[in-house]
Amino acid sequence: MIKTFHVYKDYGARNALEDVNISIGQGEFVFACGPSGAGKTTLLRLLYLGERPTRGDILIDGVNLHRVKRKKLPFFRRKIGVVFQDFKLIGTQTVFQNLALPLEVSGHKKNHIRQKVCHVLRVIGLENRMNSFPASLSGGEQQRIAIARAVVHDPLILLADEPTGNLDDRSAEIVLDLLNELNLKGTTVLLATHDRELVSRSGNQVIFLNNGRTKD
Amino acid sequence: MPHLSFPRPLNRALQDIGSNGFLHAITVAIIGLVLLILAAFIVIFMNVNRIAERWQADIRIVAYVKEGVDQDRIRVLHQRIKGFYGVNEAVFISADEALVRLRSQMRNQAGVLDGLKENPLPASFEISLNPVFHDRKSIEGLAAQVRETEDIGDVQYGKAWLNLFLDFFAFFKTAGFITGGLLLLVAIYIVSNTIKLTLFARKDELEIMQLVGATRYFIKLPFYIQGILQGLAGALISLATLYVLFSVFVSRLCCADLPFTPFRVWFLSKEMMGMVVLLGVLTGWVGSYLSLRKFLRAWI
Repeated sequence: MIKTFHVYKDYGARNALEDVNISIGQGEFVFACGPSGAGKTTLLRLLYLGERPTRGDILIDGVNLHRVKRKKLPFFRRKIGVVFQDFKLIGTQTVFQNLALPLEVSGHKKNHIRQKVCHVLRVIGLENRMNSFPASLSGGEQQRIAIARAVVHDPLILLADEPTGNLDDRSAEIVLDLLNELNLKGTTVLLATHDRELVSRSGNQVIFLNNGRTKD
Repeated sequence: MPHLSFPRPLNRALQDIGSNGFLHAITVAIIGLVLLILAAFIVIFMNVNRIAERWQADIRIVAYVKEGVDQDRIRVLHQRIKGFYGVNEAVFISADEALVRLRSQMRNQAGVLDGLKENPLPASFEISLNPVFHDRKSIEGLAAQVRETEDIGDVQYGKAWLNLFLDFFAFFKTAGFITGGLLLLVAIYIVSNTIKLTLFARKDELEIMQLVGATRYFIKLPFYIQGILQGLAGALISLATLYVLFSVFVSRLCCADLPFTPFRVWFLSKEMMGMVVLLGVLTGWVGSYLSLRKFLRAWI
């Protein structure tokens, strides 16, 4: 599902990623683990085409990202859901409106959007928060909403950048359970974290990153 | 196949306008003011143009016949002048008729003419022009042609007055277009900045929209709608204000009992009003287009 071949990313003289080669199969749940500045976020940004690599090739669902032109970028991004440490919810919109956005941009009809959003809210146990604004929710609830927004349009891949970084242990556990459930339903998950304990507890495949390089 | 329905971007545009009401109101007011000045200029220009056309239509060339030209040659001369391109009619006024006219025009002072031993007035031709032949160049050309004709002594057609009026009119037109153009640029700049401020306020939201797969069209459309709505509102306000001002002006003009011949004052035609609305909409659209182009260019 995800393959990178000798991927480099430079910011001026600084090499954020150097010769990164990874392979993640369909339906796998993989951790990208490393200390701050290891290149985890950069790797994720390259995968959802937030940036282009300086060198190397990335294949997602058989598509070389070099071939994704600017015009086709939105359609490519609909295959991917992204979750951030700081949630990135739209503060001026309700939970429902936040979740409806990925479906709206894909041009789905109102009825379909309503049904789908209600369903996803039921799955994450927050259907009673539909009309709340993000600021009125706890950190754990906000992250569950962010995950729900990332998967409401049924993406093939879910990229999560430190999704538990801002959460207490209980909330972090709920979020991880949710990600595991999504993975069991077939979504490929790549989760970036600096938390080695979390990784070792899960028993999933791990890609270790340090100073922009992968190590075994 | 999923489709993008129109009301959604419209709703987003209206929500934005609602949440930044003051900013948008100021922009609409400025567009309205600019269009009001432009529309007022058009009204003045149109009316002055009509007056000018009427005055120009009344312009006649008077060609004075040299002394001692006999009737046969006058008849030939008459035919020649009538044959000139642009001449609608040429009426011969004999020296005697000219004197009678002068007497009737002088009314009470006509007595001063009684002392004349002989008629000092020359015979002349009063030449009226074809309606399409009223521009300065044509009139000057025809006057020169008549002047060069044998047996014609002098030609008069109010050249100095005509030139002065047409020069002023041309200056008025040019100054109006330049000022109007500059004002429109100012309006576009202001719309562009309003949209830019909205864009900055919603920067995070737009970034999220891109992340979840929004096309540029999906992101841009509400802002285009905002710009167009601002332009439309500005245009309608300007037309309404101009109509009120126009009505007040016309009512004062009618009550003023002016000493000159009254003439009808015209408001903008439906087509011209449509043009003003179109200009407003275009101003709004161009303003939002410019800000969006700069803002979204920075993104991947």
